[in-house]
Amino acid sequence: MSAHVAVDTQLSFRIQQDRKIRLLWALGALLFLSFLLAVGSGAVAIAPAQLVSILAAQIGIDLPWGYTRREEIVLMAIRLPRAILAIQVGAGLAISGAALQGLFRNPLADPALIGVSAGAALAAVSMIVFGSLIAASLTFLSGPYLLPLAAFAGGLAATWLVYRIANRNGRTDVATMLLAGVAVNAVTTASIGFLIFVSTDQQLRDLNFWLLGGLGGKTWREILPASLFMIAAGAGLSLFARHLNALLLGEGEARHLGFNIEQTKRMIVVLVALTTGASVAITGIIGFVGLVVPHLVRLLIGPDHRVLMPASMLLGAAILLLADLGARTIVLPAELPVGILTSCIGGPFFLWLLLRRRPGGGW
Amino acid sequence: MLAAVDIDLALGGSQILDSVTLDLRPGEFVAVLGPNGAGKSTLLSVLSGTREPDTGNVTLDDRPLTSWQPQALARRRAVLPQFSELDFSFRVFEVVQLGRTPHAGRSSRQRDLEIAFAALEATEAVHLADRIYPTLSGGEKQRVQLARILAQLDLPAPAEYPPDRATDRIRYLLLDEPVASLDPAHQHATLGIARNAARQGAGVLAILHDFNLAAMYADRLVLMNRGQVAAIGDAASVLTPALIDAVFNLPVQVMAHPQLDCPYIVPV
Repeated sequence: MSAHVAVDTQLSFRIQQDRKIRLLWALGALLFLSFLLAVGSGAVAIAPAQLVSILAAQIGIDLPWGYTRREEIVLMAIRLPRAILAIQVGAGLAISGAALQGLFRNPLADPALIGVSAGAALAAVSMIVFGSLIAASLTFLSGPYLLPLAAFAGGLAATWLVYRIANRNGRTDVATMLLAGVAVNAVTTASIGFLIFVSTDQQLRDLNFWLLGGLGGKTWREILPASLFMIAAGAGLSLFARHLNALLLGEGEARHLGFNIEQTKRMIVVLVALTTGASVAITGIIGFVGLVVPHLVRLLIGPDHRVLMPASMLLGAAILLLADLGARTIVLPAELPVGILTSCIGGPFFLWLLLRRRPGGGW
Repeated sequence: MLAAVDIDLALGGSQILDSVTLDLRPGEFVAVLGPNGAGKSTLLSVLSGTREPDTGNVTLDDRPLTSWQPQALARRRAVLPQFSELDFSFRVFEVVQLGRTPHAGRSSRQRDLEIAFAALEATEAVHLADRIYPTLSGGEKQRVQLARILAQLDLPAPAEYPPDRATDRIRYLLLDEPVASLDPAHQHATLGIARNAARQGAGVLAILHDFNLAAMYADRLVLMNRGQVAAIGDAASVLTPALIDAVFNLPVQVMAHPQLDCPYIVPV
């Protein structure tokens, strides 16, 4: 019997591998189509041929498809930076979520959980409410960078606090870290509530937009510095795929398999804080992408992080592109904060995932 | 040789291990027995390098465990946990393949696949290969975990017997209650695998609760009580009514096994 079973097993293993590779291609195609759709749609429609033509012209290649000056300006100054930002933030949040869910061995983990989003939000809100006071003392910083820098610093500070609390005798207790994250989140939420209470009407509008998350109105000058962080940290996270696979067995087991677990935990927390901090700093809080996307991918190909992480990046990017497209076209001429849309769709979707999950079936 | 010398370890103010000295030699199967809380699992975690003792040394091939590069150590010794908390929907085959991670860069994908498959075959779990791990029963999970650590150590196949006894190729298996959730047939199958590994040159240490299983399979028995080694030796010298009554507070009668050359213990 065994020879037979052996062949079957190896065959089915190959089929699984092929499925994973096919899924990556399919998600890549989805991202490409979402990108074309997102940069092409809006008040000024741009066809794919014109798109390619405009992009080629930027690097000095002349293609035969003509385009108008208006199309070029809309694409290069508005749509393209926005789409690039959506791709980075979507990919960054999704891979951060995948890494944290693996690290905590907890399917509820989400980049917000280690306090990075809340810390960033508190810093940003303080900046908006007390901005004139603070800016006066920090005149060397130019306006557009002040808010993202403060948010970034706030996010890292909160994560550092959560990490310190969970760290004892050189070991990080992930359960404590989870609970410390909940506590830090509660305190920052209350502080934000207080700041909202004392803010003026104009501040309140700014606040709201920031807290609900939005990708609009960002220039290359704001996006590029954050890109550096997000790309470096995202690439760094994918180096830990094998560590995370082993960690799913348990910390002791991963250690027995020869992984340096303390270093792994430290690196993952730092990289997630950098990715999420940089993205929250620019766009505000965009909920549910980091939580739902990895679940969706696991449903398709299982929890192997070597596929889960790149697939989550592709899907996260595509979903945020499409969500942002919806956010700026559903209520024309106004624009919906994209965070409202992602949470509105993400929440019920997550419930559906929970309901269709077999009890004891694993994540 | 995997050796622990004069190990002291206190946790939360109480002395869990009290000057424990124990060695695990190539080719032998050692069973560790003792009441709950005697320090058996803690001893195993010290031997595996998970916990550092307060005083005393653990060495593998005369080198302190702490000086071993973690991956190199993982290729030499594997640990079977009492239970595994894996709650994500890996397939059984993927779980066994995780055992191959310390060999990354030293083994081919095809070879990893063959070793993982052979390990599943050895633990009679081939038919589970495609199942989602969290949906398995407790006993099935334990067999898959055993397959995972067999794949990790890549023990020489029985066909390669007599084994390569070069010291630096000797593997060590540390099993924390490997038969706790198994049915009787699989208890014997699992201990048979462990004993075979020992016959092929590996050093095997298992925490067991069943006197008779220990008597049947182990070459040496270690009886632990309150963090100390109460007795160490072969089954006949350790499994005596006086020692068992003193350590477990359980009156027993020791008889001869009707067919095998080992004692048979019956509570009275």
